Parts: sequence; structure tokens; C-alpha cells
Amino acid sequence: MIPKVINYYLFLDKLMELSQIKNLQYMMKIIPLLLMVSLSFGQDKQLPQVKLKDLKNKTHSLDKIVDGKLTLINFWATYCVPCRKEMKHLNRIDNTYADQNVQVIGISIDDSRTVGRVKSMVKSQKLAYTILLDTEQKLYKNFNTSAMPFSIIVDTAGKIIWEHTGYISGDELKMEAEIKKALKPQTKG
Amino acid sequence: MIASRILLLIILPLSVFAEGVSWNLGIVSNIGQGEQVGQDYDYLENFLNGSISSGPWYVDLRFEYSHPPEYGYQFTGVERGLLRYTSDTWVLEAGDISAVFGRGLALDLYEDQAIDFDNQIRGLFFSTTLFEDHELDFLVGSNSGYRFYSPSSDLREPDGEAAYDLSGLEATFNGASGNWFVAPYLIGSQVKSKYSWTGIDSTIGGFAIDTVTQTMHAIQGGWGQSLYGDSWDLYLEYNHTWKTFDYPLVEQSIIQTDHGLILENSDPEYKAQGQALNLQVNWFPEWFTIMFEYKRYLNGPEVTSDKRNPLLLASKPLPWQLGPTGIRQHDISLLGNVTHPVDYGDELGWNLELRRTMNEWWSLSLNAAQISQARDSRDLDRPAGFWPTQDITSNPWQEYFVELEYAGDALSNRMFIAYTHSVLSGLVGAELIEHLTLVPAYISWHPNDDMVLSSVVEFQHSNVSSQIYGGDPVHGHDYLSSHVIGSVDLKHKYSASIIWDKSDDPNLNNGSTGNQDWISGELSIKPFDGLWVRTSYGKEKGGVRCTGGVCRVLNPFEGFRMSVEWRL
Repeated sequence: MIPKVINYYLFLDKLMELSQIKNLQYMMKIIPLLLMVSLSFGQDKQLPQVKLKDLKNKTHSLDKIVDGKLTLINFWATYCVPCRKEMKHLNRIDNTYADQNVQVIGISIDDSRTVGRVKSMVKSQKLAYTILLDTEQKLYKNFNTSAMPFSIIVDTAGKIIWEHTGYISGDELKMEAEIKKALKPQTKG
Repeated sequence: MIASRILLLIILPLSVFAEGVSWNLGIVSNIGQGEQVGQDYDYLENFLNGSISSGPWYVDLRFEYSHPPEYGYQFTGVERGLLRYTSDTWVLEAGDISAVFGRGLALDLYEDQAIDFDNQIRGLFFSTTLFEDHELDFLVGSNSGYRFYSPSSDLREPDGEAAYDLSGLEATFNGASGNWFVAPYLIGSQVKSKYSWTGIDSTIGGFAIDTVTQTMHAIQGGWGQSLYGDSWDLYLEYNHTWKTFDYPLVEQSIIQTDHGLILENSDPEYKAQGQALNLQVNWFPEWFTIMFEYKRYLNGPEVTSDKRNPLLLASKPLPWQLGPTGIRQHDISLLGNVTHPVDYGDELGWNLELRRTMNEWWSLSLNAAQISQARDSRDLDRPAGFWPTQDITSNPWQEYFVELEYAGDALSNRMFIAYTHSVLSGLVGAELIEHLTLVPAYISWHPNDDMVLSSVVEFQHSNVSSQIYGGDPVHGHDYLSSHVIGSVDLKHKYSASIIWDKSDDPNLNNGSTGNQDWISGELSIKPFDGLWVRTSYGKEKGGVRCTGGVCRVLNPFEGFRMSVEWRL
């Protein structure tokens, strides 16, 4: 795959030299190049190593919290209304599947100006699952999305097996279905 | 061309070790074609984000091709890059650095593309754990093209630009019990910005007004600390800023005397100081939560006429001095439009919020906030106050609201009633506006698993008056605005919405008090998780868009928009 990428790149280089549409040639080169290179890596997505703080300012390595558990990670913010609607379902999922090695982690992407409201929200919604802070969005940015809420499911080996953007009523059922699907081989094993 | 080669050089070696390499790619494209206030307003912006991680290594690159973007300048090239190494005890980053010390009163580096705000530095960030519980963070870098807009700007391109270098150190000491932490910090910086300066021009034998580069050096010192109890916590942060300038802050005037024209510099100031304080207390007994926040930001008090002068950056807060807003950012459209852009240079205020979850379905929020300038901008020699005043000379703003939320299994709704009073203080008088906002329906109903019906209904009555300082208020006019959305989502993939705004606000209708309508339709498709295409067509009312108190005004727009977000 890699030599193909190089050939393709060189081919485009020549082709674009002939083109006079300078801005267009840039995008035409970059996008296919990245697509092909990414395909050469295969489809596995791993949770990146990152350190996040909890509500008491303690720093945690996310991979150590996730390690060995099927984990639903939900990115949210205090000013996001769909996020609030989703929370009670996440609370229920965390509670329902806790004895099956499943956990929910809520990661607030509130910035420094609104992060002070996170604890109040967590307490008022009586959230029992783990809450971490990604104030500088160092993890969230990794997923190249601007929408909220944003959820991923990470399997016991740290591989991202499902991603979902936004929340409308009923999305929690899809989430639960994915968890059940991921639990099946574990149960068999 | 060079950027793509750099990318290739980074990616190819990594691909050799493809085992264990994880990647993310995303493309965001925004296209708009239409008119704003009668002028053609087209934009095309494309962002290609790529990140690769392998064990402790992480690389993030973003390419931009904008022709032109919705806001800011046309750009093609690598817009952002970051290399990070994470070990068990330390983290090193090189590239575009986002960072926060405390809660950002002294240092808050971040980017928000939606309002063309980016105060990040290009440099190095190092963080290490000390003695297991404590932390030390260090950063150094520069920003050569910081762009800024005045709070009421409705321009497509920025009001001004600046360049800066900064370095900072923050230490965080966590209590062994886990019940407290203290984080002192120190930041040094140099800022270069445009400044209007009148001097003697020997070539013409007279005075000349030039735009020169003013250099400012600043030191900031402060600390943040928290205490945690069983059912309460407290956060306190304070910092102090010392600035020096090469060109003094001064009012210059050319005066005719018996001996001819002379240049008079009134009270030139070669240095200035500022301070900022933020306090937050949370109390969460079993049946409700209370949050109280107090702020006192005095990073650059100015007279009213200077506040929107982009050639006076040195007298304003440093570009990275932000902090908690002390007010809520509303998702209610009409309330969002009457929000208050935070003046980090001169503002004090408080915010009290009570939340109560009454049962499984119902919850209640009460919120009250008052804000004003800390100093009288007509007389900066007077000492700053400690509590917000409702004196109309001080840009006071206050808001009170009640929100009732129902979250059932198939149906959810929010009801909202708010009173907002804002004053825009001028040189001799002020404009006072009262808004009463009612949101009877913010409904979402899913009759079955494949369909969601939603509706938003907002009404706002506004009353405008004016008052000369020392005089009586003079009633101006009333107007009514409404905002209605109806939408349907099918199979969690397809969505269609109609957005209808109506208002008889004369400011939005060339002075006429007749009703005006803005109607647009939106279609959204998510064929699979990872791809999201949204299109809209019609007339949009525009309004205010804020991120953490940094606001900009969006003009009404008429035309076609499309947004594509594709994650691979």
C-alpha cells in the first residue's frame, strides 16, 4: 500500500504542476493522500494516551481507568441541553451493566469559564458514574468533531468500537444495543 | 506543497510501525452563498484534521483551505500542528499549545473557529508530576498573528492584530487528604500591537499622526485554590498584572498658543497594573444544589470612548486574560441575543444558581445574576467598587430566570421565563432595555423508536428607553420578537426543520416598526455514524454568538449554507 501512496503522490505532483488552479490542487493532493495513508493503517482506532483531572483536581491516565473494562465514554458540557437529557440514561446504563465489567465515564469539555458549573450539574443530576475534565479539549479534539454530546465505546483492549455524534431521544437504545453486542463474545469467552 | 511533504515525512515512518498505530481523520467543510445586509456574502472553508497516536506519541495536524472563510482571512496551509509525548510522569508538547492556568483569569489559551478566536501560542509545553501528588507545568511560545474583534463587531475581518511571546510556570500542590489544592503561577510576556502616536515630523516641519508598534512587557502572578467538603466546595483565584510600555498611554492634543502649535501629552503613563479575582462556592445538600460565583475583573479600566479602539490593545486585558463569565450562556435563542459580552478589563458581578431535581421527571433551576463596571468610566480616578451597581453610568446588566424541565420516557419539555435588564452607557446618557422572555415549549417527543418530533417556541417583549445622566427616563419604543422551530427526525438519520423568526424591532428593519419575518429551512442527513451533512436555505435573523463571554454579532443572512462533517 505504501509504494502505491508514493506513486499516487508523485503522479498528483506532476498532474498539479500542469494545473493553474493553485488552491484546488492543494486540497486535491492532500485529501486523497491522507485517505490512502489512513487506509494503509487498517481500521483500528485506539484510545490515545491522555491525562485528565477529576472533580477534585487529581490527575488520571485515561488508559488506566479504562483498562480491562468495556467503557462508554461520553463527552458533554454544562451548556449542552441534549447532553443533560442523555445523562439520566447514562446513569442507568452504568448502574445496569456495572456487574458485567461495563463502566460509563463522562468527560466534561467545559472550558475554564464554565468548568466551575460541572460539579453542581453532576450533583443535581445525581450522576453516579465517573466524571473527568477535559478543559483544554486535549482528548476531544482527537476525534475531529465539533458536535455534542459525542460518545464512544472502548472495548476491554482499549480499541474504539463505536462512535456516535449528538443525542436525540432513543439514541440511548442504540448505545445499549452496542454494549450488548460487545458483551456477547466476552460472555462466550 | 511543503506542508504535504512534511506530512508525508511524518506519516510514512510511522506507517512502517503500523502495528499499534491509531489514526483519526476528519474533514469539515462549510459553504455559504448569499447576502448579508445587502452585500454578497459567500464563504468556503475546509478543514482537514488528522491525528495519529502510537503508544506515548501523538501527532495532530490541521490543514485549512478557505476561500474566504466565514470570518477572518483567506488561508491555505497548515493551520495547526501538535506533537505530544506522554509518559507515566510527564508530558511534553510541541506545536500549537492550548493551556489554562487556574481557571484562566491569568492565562487561558484556546481556539474557537466559530468566532475566529485563537490566542494559542506556538511553542513548548511541559508538565510533570512531582512527588506523586503534585504537578509542575511550564510553557513558552509566541503568537505572531493574534486577531481580535470588538464585542459589538459585525465585521467579517478583524478589527486589529497583535503579536506576542509568553512563558509561564504553574505549580499545583494537592493536599494528601484530597481535600484541597493550591496552584500558584507566574507569567512573563511581551506584546506588540498597533498604536496611534502623534509626533514631530522634521521632514514636513510639523506634527504627524502615525500608526506605530507599541511594545508592552507584562508580568502576571497569582494563585488558584480549592477546598472540598462533604457537601460543599470552594474555589478562589486571584492574580495581579504589572505592565510597562515603550510608547506611553497618553491623550495627545495639538494646541494653538501664542508661539504657534504645540503638542500636549496629558499624564503619560509608562506602566499600569491590573488585578482579577474569582470566587465560587458550591453547596449540595441532598435535595438541591446552590452555586454562588463572584468576580471582580480590573485588568484594564478605560473610558467608554476607548473601549472599542483597536489601537489601544495595551490598555486592555492581555489577550489571554479571560476567566469565568459569571453569567450563563443561553441555548435559548432570544435570550442568547440579549446576553452580555464580558468585559474582562473592568467588570464585577455575582451569579447565584439553584437547581433542584424534584423527582425522576421534573427539575427546576433558578438563576440570578448582576453585573456592572467596577469603575466609573467617566472618572477612572475613583476607586473601584466591590458589588455591582445598577447605576446607569456603569453599563449594568441583570438577569433572573426560572426554568422548569420535564424529562419523561417519550416526551421532554423545558419551560422558561426570564427578565433581563441591560444598559448601554454612553458619554452623556444611556440606553436602557428591558426584556421579558417566555419559552412555553422546548418539546421533544418520540412517538416510536424511529421518529422524534421537536418544537421550540420563544417569545420576547422588549422595552427601550433612554436617559440623560441626572435626568428622567424617556420611553422610546416597545417591540415583540418570536422564534419558532419545528423539526422532525427520522430513523436517527434524516432531519428536517423550519425556523421562523418574527420581530418588529426597528433596529432590524431600517427604523420601521413593521413586522419582519425570517424563514429558513434545514435538512440534515447522517447516512452513517461519522458523516453528517447539513444544508439550510432561506433568511436567517442573525444575532449574537458567544464563547465564554467573547462575543461577536452575526448579521442577518439570506442564502444557502452547507456543512459537512466527516470522520474517518
